[in-house]
Amino acid sequence: MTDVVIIGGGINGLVAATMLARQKFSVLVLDRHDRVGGAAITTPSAKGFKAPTLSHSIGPLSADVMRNLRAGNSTFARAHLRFLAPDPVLTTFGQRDEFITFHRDDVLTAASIDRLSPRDAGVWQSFAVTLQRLAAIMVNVNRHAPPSIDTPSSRELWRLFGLGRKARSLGRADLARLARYAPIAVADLAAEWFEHDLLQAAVAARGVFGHLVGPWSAGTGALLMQRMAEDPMPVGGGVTIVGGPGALAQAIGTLAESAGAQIRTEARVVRVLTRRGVATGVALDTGEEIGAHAVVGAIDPRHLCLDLIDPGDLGPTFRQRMRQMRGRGVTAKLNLSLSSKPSFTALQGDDVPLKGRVLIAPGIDYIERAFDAAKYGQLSPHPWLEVSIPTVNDPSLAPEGQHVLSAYVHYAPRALRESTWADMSEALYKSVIDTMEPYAPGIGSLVIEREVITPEDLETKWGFAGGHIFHGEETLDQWWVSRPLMGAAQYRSPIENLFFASAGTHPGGGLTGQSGLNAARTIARALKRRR
Amino acid sequence: MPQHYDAVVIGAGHNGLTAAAYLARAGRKVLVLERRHLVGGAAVTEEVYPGFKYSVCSYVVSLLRPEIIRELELARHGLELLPLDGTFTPMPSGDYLWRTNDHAQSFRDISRHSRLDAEAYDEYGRAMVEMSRFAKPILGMTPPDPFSMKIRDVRPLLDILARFRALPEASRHDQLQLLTMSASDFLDQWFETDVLKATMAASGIIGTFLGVRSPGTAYVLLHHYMGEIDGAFRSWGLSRGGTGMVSESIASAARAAGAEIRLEAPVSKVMINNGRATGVVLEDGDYVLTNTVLSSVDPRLTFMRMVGEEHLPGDFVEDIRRYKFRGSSGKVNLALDGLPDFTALKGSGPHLRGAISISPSVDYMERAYDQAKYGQYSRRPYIDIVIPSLTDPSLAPPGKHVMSCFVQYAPYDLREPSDGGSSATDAPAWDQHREAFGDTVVDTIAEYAPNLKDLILHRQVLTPLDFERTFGLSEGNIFQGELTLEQLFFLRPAPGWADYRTPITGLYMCGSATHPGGGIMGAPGRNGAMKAMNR
Repeated sequence: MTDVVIIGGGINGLVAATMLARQKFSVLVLDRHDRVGGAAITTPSAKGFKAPTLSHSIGPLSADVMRNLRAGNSTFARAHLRFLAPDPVLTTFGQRDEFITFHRDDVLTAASIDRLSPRDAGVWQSFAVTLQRLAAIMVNVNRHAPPSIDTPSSRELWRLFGLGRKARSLGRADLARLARYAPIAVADLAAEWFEHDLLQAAVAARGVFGHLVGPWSAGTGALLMQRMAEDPMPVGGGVTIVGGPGALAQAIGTLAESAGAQIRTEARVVRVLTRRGVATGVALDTGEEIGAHAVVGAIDPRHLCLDLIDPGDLGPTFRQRMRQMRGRGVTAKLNLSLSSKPSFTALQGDDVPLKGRVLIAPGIDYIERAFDAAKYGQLSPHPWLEVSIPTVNDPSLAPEGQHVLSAYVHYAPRALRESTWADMSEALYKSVIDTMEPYAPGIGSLVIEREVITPEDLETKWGFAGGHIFHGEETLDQWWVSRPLMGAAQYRSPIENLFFASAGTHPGGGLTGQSGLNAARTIARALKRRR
Repeated sequence: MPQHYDAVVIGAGHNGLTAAAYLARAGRKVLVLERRHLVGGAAVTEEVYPGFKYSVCSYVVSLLRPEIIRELELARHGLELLPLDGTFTPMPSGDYLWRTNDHAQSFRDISRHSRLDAEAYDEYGRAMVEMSRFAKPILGMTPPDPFSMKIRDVRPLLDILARFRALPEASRHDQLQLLTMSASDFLDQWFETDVLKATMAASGIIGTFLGVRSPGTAYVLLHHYMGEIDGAFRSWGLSRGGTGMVSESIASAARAAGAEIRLEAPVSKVMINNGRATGVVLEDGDYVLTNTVLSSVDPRLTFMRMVGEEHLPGDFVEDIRRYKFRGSSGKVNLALDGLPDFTALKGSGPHLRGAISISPSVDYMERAYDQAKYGQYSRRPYIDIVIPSLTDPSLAPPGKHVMSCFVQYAPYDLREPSDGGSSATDAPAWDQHREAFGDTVVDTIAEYAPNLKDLILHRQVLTPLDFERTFGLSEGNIFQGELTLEQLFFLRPAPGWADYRTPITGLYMCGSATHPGGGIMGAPGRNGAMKAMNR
């Protein structure tokens, strides 16, 4: 009998394990794969390439998580965690060899924008600073469990009061902006600041990433703010780690183990055990049963509630609401092993921008048209792509002189109407190569190996219900006090001793570890009360 | 010697007239100035062709606030609302869906498509009424200014929050969903019949430049359930004599209370001295003096044209510039020699007396929107049809009919390729495509009612450009600005200025561009007048 069994060894599960083990609880992490990491893994290929299988950038881990893990501790960091913060961070390519390179330094970014629009270059810094200021408020919201609506504790009320004061300190103009930017369409938000389509699209792409929405969908402003609360760079920092995202999971796993937690891989949970409405442990596919005082689902809450829990334990209403939690996956992933570095015509031989990610989203209408297809259950014929070539910064990931290319593909709807994903993976690959060819001619001929991960794979192999990479859409009605569901937003499920700790809880996805940290606090309090 | 008034109202639309009526009844000396030759704004009845009276723009009445009907005694002044019962949706398959207020009838008809949906329909109706109870008091409220962070302003919001907390958990959940979801997603949770979802979702997109799958359209479904006539929830009606009679009755109430209404008196400027409104100048150079001006026209006309940027703070000008109109609808008014005969349900039965909705499937609606997004009018649009002469025969000569077709999408910013004709290339796109658009609408309806084309005696096609030119609706938006979340409540028309005041002392807003927005509600007019009288 252990104190805590955690289902799922993704970043959130591992962060929760570390925090709980440090408080002297016995902790067991179970992961169905052959290694921990969840969406943060690196898989070696047959020919010696190491691709970021799913996510190609990490979080970054929130400052709150880093502090609590004490992962910034210099000896540990030197040995295990060597973050790479690429600069430039992103280059977006448009028509007629136009491109914009985004740097960590706003002045350099402005200089790049200046070639296309001096007007936009002039407002870039002000845009970045303004949105960062607003996103900072959300960071404060993200750091704590959402309050209870019915019976808020004095601590929660105090925190809300503090939040109110912080918000107030923003001042009138910013508060009004915050109120407007949350429900707005990100295309409108971008157009309020910028005139150049390519720049507007680069900003908008981040607001629609991972979700079944287009730049003209209302509420995408809030999604952009949510991404910026995780990572304040307006187009995303694309932070990664030496050895690929899997190295991050390994490192946190090491932290958890050194604190006393046990990790078992290839341990597939098939059922949560309960007795009289109280969770008592888990059963594995081997028939083994593991007893625990607390069961933590660091996996998609829909997968947990609908597949691993006896329907009688949750009741029809809760199950129905969980089934209706929206999470319609639209992201596919492509990993390529390349014989050499691809060359982008517009860069005229300059390789420096390839340190950062590459965005192929040459205009608002382009993204919106890609989205149109998804609405009718079709793969976008002209998808928009976010591409990373991690070997530029970390040559250890591929044989000498060769490269790994990783691409997020939007939109690839989980639910196809006229075909199945088993038949579509070739078409997906082809659409990506066709989309990149005009910008990087000959890129198709460099491909040595390929791995296509469809939204169906994300669901069946990785447990993302509906293939949704964030464990559920992050719209206002599935955020904060209602993530995953209203009444179950405080990491507690309706079943006593069963907790949620994945991206499907507040504050949501993005490999930040914050959900795991927040959940661990709740769980520790519950366990201590019982001692 | 210029005339002096206690208050001058710009625009004699139903909101302007409502404001004037309330001011006059409070003993103020009021003048209403109207650009056109008749009162009503977008709520007018016009005899465009001899014998045929069109409700030219707005054509149904539902949200008109009951307290306004009561307080202004509109019934005494000629307002008579006739029920508009039911929605008939013909389908290309030859089937149809027909819902009415007769519960048993609707249940039977929905059951033909899905028994489950028929049962869910009742439950849905109850849930929506429950939720409109929560939302309704907000309609009559003057929005607070939460950005001031003063207790006085934050308190009403806390009250709303407290009421929200008091709701059962399931309603709270639904309420939040309504704010953020798309109409189609929201309805997916309740129903399985495509045509039912499409027709219900249609009410979520009227007047907006959004599709049924666009997040943020769900809450407009609720608006639908807030309609009330004579205290009965969820009923829609026609006004006897056309929609113009709503305006006429309010005008009559205003005049009876002593208000003066001057027609064909377009305003060119609001006179401003030291940040205070001191009067208005008419286009003919005439002017009147007053300390209180109420504008019922939209913020772009009010501030950019009649006030002038130079009198306004810079951030306010920015906000008004950003305020979105994006008209997306058109209107086709037909004079008919007889009644259309729908293939799906032959004859001139009661199904023609309600609304007839061309909304056969959710995809149909969404594809209509997709075309509009890129600047074309929908080739197969959503059309909401009413034949008011069936309910009110006075609108057409005996045996003949008027048919009102509200059409979406017709984007104001039309980017159709020029028709190639050498003549009119400089004309605005809508002037070149107006009749083709009208043909599309008629062709679309004729697919369901093939005899329609032979019945047409006259056809009036109104594009968003026509709404702008004739009715002074900027970019042709029928609600004086989009009803999207970032332009509602304390953000309408601009943050900090949602309480009907403006940065100009003595100038108030009282049109649809203020809370609670468009539709024949009258609430902005009433609230604006109250504010101007400091009540």
